[in-house]
Amino acid sequence: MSNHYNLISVPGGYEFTTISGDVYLVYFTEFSLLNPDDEQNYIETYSFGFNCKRANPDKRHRFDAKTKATILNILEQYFEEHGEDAFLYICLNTDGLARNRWITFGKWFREIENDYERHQSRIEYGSQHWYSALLVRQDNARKQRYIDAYHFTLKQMLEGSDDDAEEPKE
Amino acid sequence: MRVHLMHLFVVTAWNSYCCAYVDIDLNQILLYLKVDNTKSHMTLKKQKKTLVNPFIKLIEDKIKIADAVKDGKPLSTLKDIKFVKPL
Repeated sequence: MSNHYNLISVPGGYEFTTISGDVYLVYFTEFSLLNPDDEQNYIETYSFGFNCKRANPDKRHRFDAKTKATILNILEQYFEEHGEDAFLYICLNTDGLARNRWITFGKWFREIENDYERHQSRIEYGSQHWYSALLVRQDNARKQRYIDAYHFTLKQMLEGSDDDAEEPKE
Repeated sequence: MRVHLMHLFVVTAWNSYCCAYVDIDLNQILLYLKVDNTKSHMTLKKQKKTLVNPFIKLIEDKIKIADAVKDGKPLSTLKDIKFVKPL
């Protein structure tokens, strides 16, 4: 038996349904990083995100093990097909749960950290905390370019980030 | 300016300040955000060059996606989000 849910392609992304009936939508969008070496051009990458339509919204939301495995499987598949690319994610911060998401995803990604690098950032901007991370394969020949562009973009776009852009503790 | 105001609208909305999207006095917004004018001027210049803060847009996009999912609307209705399918 598979340790992850079946993924189906839907317009705009991918979907899977958990055993409890929650429907997850997984999506990638274009994301342009500023190029620290060339102000006129960007470094194109992707952002990754997922959203859940709860079968029972009144019940407390918990990620089951297969959901975690499904998400990680998607990321590993992405890197299998796009080893020369990177992607980033940001934790939604409009409901006071950004740090919770940050911690949860941090635990998930530690399971695949042998092959990938995760460069994190926690920045306070506009009275909100912005948790984001860039993921890139360890053997990606262009990985430093992505890492530099990520931190450069954070510094340029989210003010006061010189100190906060260090790796945050979970 | 329109893009910049949208960013400030999103941020100030989270802080429970009510602002009309169009009729926003920039100086008032700056006061609420406790951002001094020199910093905001630099921010404006940067945004003029880059047009949009990609991190703020990403959060805005996530909110739109969450609302679309909640309302049962297909992602194709979100015209200003560039979805890709790399798998």
